[in-house]
Amino acid sequence: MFDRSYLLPTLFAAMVHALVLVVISGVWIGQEVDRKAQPRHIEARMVDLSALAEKKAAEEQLMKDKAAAEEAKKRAAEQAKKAKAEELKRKKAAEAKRKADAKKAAEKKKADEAKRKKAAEDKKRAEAERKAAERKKAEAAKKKADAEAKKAELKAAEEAKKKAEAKKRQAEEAKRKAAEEAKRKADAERKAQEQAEAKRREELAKQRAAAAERAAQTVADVGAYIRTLTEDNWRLPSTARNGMTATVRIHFFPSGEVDLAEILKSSGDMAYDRSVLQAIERVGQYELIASVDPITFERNLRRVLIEFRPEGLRW
Amino acid sequence: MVNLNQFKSLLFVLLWMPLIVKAELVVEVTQGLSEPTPVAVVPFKWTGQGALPEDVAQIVDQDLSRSGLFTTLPRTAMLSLPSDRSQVFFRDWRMTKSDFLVVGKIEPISSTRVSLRYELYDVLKEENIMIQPLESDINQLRDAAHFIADQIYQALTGNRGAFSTRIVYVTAEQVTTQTSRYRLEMADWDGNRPRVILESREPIMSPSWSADGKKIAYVSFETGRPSIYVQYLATGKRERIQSFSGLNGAPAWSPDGNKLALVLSKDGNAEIYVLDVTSGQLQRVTNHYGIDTEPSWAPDGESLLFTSDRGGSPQIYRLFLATRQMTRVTYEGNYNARASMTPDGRFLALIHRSGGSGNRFSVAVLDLKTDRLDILTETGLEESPTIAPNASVVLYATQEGNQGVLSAVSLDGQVRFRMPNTRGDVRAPSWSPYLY
Repeated sequence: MFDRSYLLPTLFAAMVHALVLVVISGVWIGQEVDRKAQPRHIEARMVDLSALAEKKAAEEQLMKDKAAAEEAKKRAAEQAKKAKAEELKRKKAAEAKRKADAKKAAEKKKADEAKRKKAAEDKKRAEAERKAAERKKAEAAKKKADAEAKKAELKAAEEAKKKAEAKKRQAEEAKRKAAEEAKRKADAERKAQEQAEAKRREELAKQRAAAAERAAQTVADVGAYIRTLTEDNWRLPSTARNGMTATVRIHFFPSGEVDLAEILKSSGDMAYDRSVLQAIERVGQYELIASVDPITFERNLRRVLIEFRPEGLRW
Repeated sequence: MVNLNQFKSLLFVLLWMPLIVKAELVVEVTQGLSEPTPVAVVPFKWTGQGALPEDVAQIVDQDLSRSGLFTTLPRTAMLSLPSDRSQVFFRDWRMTKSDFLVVGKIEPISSTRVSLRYELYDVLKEENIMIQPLESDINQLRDAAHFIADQIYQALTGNRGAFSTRIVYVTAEQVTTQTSRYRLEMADWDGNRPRVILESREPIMSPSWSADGKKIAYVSFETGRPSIYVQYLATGKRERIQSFSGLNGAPAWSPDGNKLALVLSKDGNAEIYVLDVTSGQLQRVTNHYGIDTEPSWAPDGESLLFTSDRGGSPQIYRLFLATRQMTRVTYEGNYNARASMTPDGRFLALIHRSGGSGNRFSVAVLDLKTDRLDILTETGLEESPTIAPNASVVLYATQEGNQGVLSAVSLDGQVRFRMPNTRGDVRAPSWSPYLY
């Protein structure tokens, strides 16, 4: 994708986009979302990071497992390679031996023949006179001997060849078997690994869903808690009327202490607005929030909106 | 290709950003405590010699608590008596469950004048709401106290305080078995500092404030028969409005101060008339053989409320002057009379008698928006309700033993208190408008 010629322009474009995004989001967040700077954490308190740690551990485990699997795979591949090389060596050796054998046999045959020739000539020279009948006989004997020698020669060659072939077949069989074995082993390993991975993934998803559900439940619980506590501490001013609405944004510390409460939408009535802020001030600390895990707190509870809208008033 | 991917990811981020940042928990709060606001008014520190004629903080305290909107902390429950910010420990006041704190001090300027300085704090937020210095004659500390109470009331409720307003009422004292002495008196809203405006051997009835608070109309029998008089408070000068044969009664000033609504029986039976004070022109606005009486003006001056028995029992009716359109306002109970409307036009204070309650007349408040009637008093002999200009309190006359006294009840019925004792029977109270 990143051709050499497009690399620079692409990088440049990405940087420009990132810059624009940073500028836009900065302005955006600054204006619309949060006129107030993120509250300072003055308290240096130990935050319960077990949730984070668990997740990290799970991920680490996952990484480790993956690495192990890879290692095993590599090892298997190496073994297969090694086996193959050995087989090759073995085959080569067998071939060489077979060749040597054949050569030996041929040489032997040659030597034998020379010997035999010499003997025949000697015989011929010694028994030159013993010809007619004798020659015939000698000739016949020679023929027979020739045939026999040839036969023996042939047989030897054949045997050698047969032997070599058998050896080769055996080697091939062994090789095939080894390869098959390796493949089967690798397959099984891969399968097991895949299964484990799927299982882990499923577990993780399950865990994540459970965590999300738990977080939602926590947020709902805390919402109800905030409502009850605030209602118990809200002293309605005489100016309160049904249908009046004031919205307050509370910034919490993780301890549940109110960092800041600000009127986001005024009811239009000064006493009413003051009364809702006083209700929050009177509570001071929403203690249940301290027990919420840090991630859920950051996501859902650092800032909370409270809408004060009385119902069932006399007027 | 690369750019497209980048664009896609950028778009993704941009689209999701609002959802990410708006993922805030929203809690709805729909119930609260309908209790008065707790305030602590610390005794003001006096740096001069001797004792002051009035306990300013005590008056402020009493004003606030009588409005029905505040409960005040008893002095015995105070952990300290600060007189300015440097001496205030908010934690102490939080412990006493006070939401607001008033401290102050009084210093002498001369032998007759003092300077006051009071401070109002939000105890929960630990911040100052108001600091105000003022000067007062040493003999008018009560005025200063009511003024401070007004300022605090306004700062805390957003509505104007009515503690500097006055009331008028009529007392009747039996001198001998044959003769009585009638007095028209004016006092602070809490009944203190009464002073006599008019004294007569004959009955005085139905005093009514003009909208500017400078004059009072009333009915006097001093000539032997009822006549309507207008008296200027500043000078004591009196004028008799033209008098007719028969009944002349129940004068009521229009909000613009140019007209008086009256009840005259010169044409046979009691009808409502409107008198143009400057031109002297008289206009009859009701015409019925039943009795029409006790007119009062709606705050906009465009309609009159009055009591009529044209339907068989006394009930409140409303007449729109421009169109002469008339509507019946009350239906509940067999007796509803003496209606007066709050300045926002939403409520009517009136005297009410329920069907099954025998002869008990109570002060009640009718919510014109919801038609809900709330009965505020239970003694059963109430009459002449009159509403504070900020609609916080209803003042009325009632009987205690054999004596007529004045009592007051907050409009929400939460707080009731009795005015100080005066000589003789007290009746026909009328609450002034704002006087400054």
